Amino acid sequence: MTSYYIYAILPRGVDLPTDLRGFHGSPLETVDVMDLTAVVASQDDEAITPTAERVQAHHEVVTALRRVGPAIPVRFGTILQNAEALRDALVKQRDALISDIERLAGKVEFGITTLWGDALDGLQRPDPLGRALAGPGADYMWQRLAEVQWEDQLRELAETLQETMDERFAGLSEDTMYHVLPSPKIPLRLRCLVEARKSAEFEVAFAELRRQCAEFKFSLVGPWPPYSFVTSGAEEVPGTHAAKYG
Amino acid sequence: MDEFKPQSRDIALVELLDRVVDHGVVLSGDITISVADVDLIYLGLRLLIRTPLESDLGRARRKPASDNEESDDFLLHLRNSTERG
Repeated sequence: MTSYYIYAILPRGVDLPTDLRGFHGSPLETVDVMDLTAVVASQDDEAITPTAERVQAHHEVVTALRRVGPAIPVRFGTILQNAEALRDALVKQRDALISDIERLAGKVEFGITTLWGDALDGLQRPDPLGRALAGPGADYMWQRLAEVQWEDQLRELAETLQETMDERFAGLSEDTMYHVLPSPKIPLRLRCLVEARKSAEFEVAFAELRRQCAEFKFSLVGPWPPYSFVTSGAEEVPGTHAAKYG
Repeated sequence: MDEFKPQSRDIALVELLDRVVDHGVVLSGDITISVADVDLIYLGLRLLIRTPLESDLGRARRKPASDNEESDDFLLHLRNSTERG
């Protein structure tokens, strides 16, 4: 039975690039439902294995569609059994999809990851061995206390960096998702929703941030389609919430 | 002032994976592919990617549970790249 692999949703009436292809050169089709168009590829498989090549191909299709209209990406791996199942899904989520399309039109996503670099050089790590020994149980508790105190110091420094970044990107980022201390080596990750026409301005602000906070290391990715800011259907899958980053 | 230049392409790939697989519209209805399957595979990928970042802090190493050779090659490459850094 032929099923549909779904790449993206667009407002109905957008002309698609004629040379655009899906996985392994598969031709793309459109399915119109009310005022929406789904960009799909027919396939016989009922499941698709995530590989780097397919993830990249999915991204390239979405990126190409964003050039011709306010396409919102569908999560990788979404396959519906037939046109009727696709139609039902779009009808059910039509309002949320239209809302996402309007909110995310003309916007791109940047991601910034930071590393501590030299920023920890001035911090004094608590030393539990400096305490008087009082037995294994007490030693363990002193050790735990030292770890908690150290994490508190890291978090405080990460939050200071977050405030600096807030100020630096004020007026440029329409929406920002922060993840403070996602791991002990990474003080901060953030994703910014930026108007596409302000991309160059955002990159200049990032360069200024690197100069301002030279003790940290920074990595910038994007501009990409606003994957992280799509909310349609996020509540359908436990643990998947676009608004919750982390 | 510094940037993760030696691994910037790999970092971009990991970031892209994180977005394309874990974000975007979730269409409900008669979904043939089990989204949970993707989650499980993705969980394996994330564990593999995250482990090197955590390893020198004494966290337990975990092995991926993916049976997909192509994905494993890709992720092994990412892990090695990260460890080199």
